[in-house]
Amino acid sequence: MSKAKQNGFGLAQANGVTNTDDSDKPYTTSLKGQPQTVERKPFVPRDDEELIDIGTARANTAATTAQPDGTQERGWAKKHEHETVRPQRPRTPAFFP
Amino acid sequence: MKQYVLNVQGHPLSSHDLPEQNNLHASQVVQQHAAYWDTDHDGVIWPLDTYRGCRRWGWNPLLCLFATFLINVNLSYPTGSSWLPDPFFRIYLDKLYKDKHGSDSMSFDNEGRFKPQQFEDFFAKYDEGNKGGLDVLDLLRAHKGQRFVFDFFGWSASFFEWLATYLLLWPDDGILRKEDVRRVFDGSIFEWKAEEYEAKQKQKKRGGQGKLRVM
Repeated sequence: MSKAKQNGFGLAQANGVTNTDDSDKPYTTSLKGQPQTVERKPFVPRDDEELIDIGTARANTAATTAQPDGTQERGWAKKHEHETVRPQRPRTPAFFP
Repeated sequence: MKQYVLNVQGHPLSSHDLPEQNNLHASQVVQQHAAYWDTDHDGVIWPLDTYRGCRRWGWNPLLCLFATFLINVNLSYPTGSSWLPDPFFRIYLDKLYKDKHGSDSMSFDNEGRFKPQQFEDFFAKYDEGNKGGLDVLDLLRAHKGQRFVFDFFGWSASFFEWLATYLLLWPDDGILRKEDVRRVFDGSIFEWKAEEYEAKQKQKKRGGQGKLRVM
């Protein structure tokens, strides 16, 4: 378990506080008159974010700020790099063609 | 007249050119998109508002009636604050974000914000040959490509939205320019198009060619 933690499993939960602070940005994500934009703030990348091009869709890694290269546990991303994210499932990787 | 000449060449509108959209800065992009129809700034779009707004672009009354029917009948209920449908099919701008539907470019998020990545994705994916815009074939491929499963509402909504966009912009070379489409999203092109049509009509009356001089 400790090894799994080291390699990524559980790490997202530990570091998983999502940044929604737009105060340093030249744009705004919420308006006072629109409560839903205050209650439901979007993710705002920090300047030193490890995950680059945060909005761009990844073909074969489920990348997050905590896991910029996708799942590293037991070489998951490496093993499946020829697949798109959708069919990657444990034990039934080729369930859907 | 000079004002239009500048605008045709793609210069940004100055605040002077945007009449009475005074709540523009405090509204989300999706509200800006609809602000054109809310001429009295009460945050409510009546069917008559929709109709008049479309007529100002010079659209045929039947087309405007059809557009008004589609827009107000379908988009009124989610924006209301009652369980009961609004008897006048009014659309309330403070909850316009609730009209989000699927199978489109996904450039609006669920709270009414604009998502640049999705907008750019849409053009990156469907602008074949990197023309800087989308032609009819691109739009058809986009419509097919963006579909969510069994999302009949979204399929038809996005179809009519892009149809209306095409009818409004009506490009001579058949390519919807990316910048024009962007200005459809934030609604800034709607008033401009109405004024352009107005100017054309005036010129026609004066016995001109009925076409705006671009230079």
